[in-house]
Amino acid sequence: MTTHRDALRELAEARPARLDPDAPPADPVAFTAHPQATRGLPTRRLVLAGGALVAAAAVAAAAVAAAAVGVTAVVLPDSARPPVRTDAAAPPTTGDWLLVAATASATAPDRTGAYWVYRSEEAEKDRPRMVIEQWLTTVDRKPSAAYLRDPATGRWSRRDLRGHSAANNFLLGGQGRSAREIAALPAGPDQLKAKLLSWYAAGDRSDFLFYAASALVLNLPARPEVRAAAYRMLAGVPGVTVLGPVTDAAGRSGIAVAIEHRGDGGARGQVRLIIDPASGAALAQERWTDGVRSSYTAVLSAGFTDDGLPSAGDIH
Amino acid sequence: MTHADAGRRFTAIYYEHHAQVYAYAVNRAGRDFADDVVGETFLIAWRKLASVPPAAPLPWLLGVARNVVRRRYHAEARQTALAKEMRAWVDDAEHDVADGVTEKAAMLAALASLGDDDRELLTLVAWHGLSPREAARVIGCSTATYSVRLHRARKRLQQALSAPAPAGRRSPVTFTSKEFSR
Repeated sequence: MTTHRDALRELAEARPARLDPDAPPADPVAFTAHPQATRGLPTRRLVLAGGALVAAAAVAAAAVAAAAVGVTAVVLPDSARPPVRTDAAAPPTTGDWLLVAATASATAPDRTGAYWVYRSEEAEKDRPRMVIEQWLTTVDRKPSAAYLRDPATGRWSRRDLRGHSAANNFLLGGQGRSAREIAALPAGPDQLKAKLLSWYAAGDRSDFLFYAASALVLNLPARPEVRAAAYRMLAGVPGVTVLGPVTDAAGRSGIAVAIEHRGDGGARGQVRLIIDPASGAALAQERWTDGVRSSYTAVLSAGFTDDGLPSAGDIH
Repeated sequence: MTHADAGRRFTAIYYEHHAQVYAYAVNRAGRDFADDVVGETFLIAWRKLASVPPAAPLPWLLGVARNVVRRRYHAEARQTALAKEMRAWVDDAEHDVADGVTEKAAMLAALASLGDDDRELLTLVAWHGLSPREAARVIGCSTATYSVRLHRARKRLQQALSAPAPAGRRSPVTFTSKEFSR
């Protein structure tokens, strides 16, 4: 009969090897590249589309207050303090941020499955928020479906996605691509860019590459190395700038990179890609017009499963 | 503290405690979520470096990781991931060829049959090497309370060990491979 003392010792001896990481820890620069919460440390001054400077809470407050859905504030350094020089506290260029994100995202686990399950929150100005979960098949002859949450009741309903198949489920470069095409994308930034440009038809080249890279990191089942390549490629796209720390519509803090263009009637349009440099995960894409957010898509979760399509009642 | 000093201090803490925070994260949320938990924990540690106690960063880090797990995952998603994780522990132990593996598998199965709170109390001391005082800090209770609760958890572990093995020794929780977070 073992005593209580022995039970604890036996437990210590039974410690599973799975508690130990397989790989050495990631480079700590993935963390130290972030701005710190401590006041007085150099903080990067941000450029806003509308040119307005808003005094706001410390970046860290937003960072810690994750998942507070509905927070829409753009977090900026306190404008009352004198502007501080950009220093080592934050990487100074777009390229640096994207390289930090690329390094972090390349370490994500590579998975596959019968369905790519992608949940997002989407909204347009003056319209209620929608939460959508898409189950996009990667396997031939399986159906795909979207599930929508009723904002009033919280109940989910299912819509079958007719015409969607593993051959066309994944929108990239203006067309539905197959799961195989996405899986076969090259992991080198130059090769990826060449592949994407082979699909380029018309319009602004920088815009095209910005949207394609955003899709790869946000909502497509691309391999971690391809996501990393997309960030690296994005770093070299002319017109892409870093805005610095922001809070996305779902209340999560990240770094915004953006591309700007003049719309009809001279309106200043901006599309932001918000990324978490620590994990390399892309959090959201937002459209801003004259300094006001007009619409957004925030990724809530994404991953593979081998489960079959659930009924609407089984989505939570 | 200059940025370079802060960077050095953080880097030292990171390399010293990364594996321990990872182990705690696997133990609380399963391997699938562990990297995310570790990443967010160290990001918070960097941002709030001034509040990390210099003498004993580990209980502070595990306390942060504990909150990250609670805040970031639905309770159900976490339990599902954990059920899968603990099944893997027992399976690994059963397929291990070394001596004493029967005891190890039985111990892990007994641990898996306990409640979440009991498991945390026991493993903070047994697997993460914390003193009762440090473990109490992670959980946010007094050392005395922790000791009483640890005593009860040990008893329950003892009972689970001597109880006849449940049919199939499989967790009744079903799980999917779906990821709930990113």
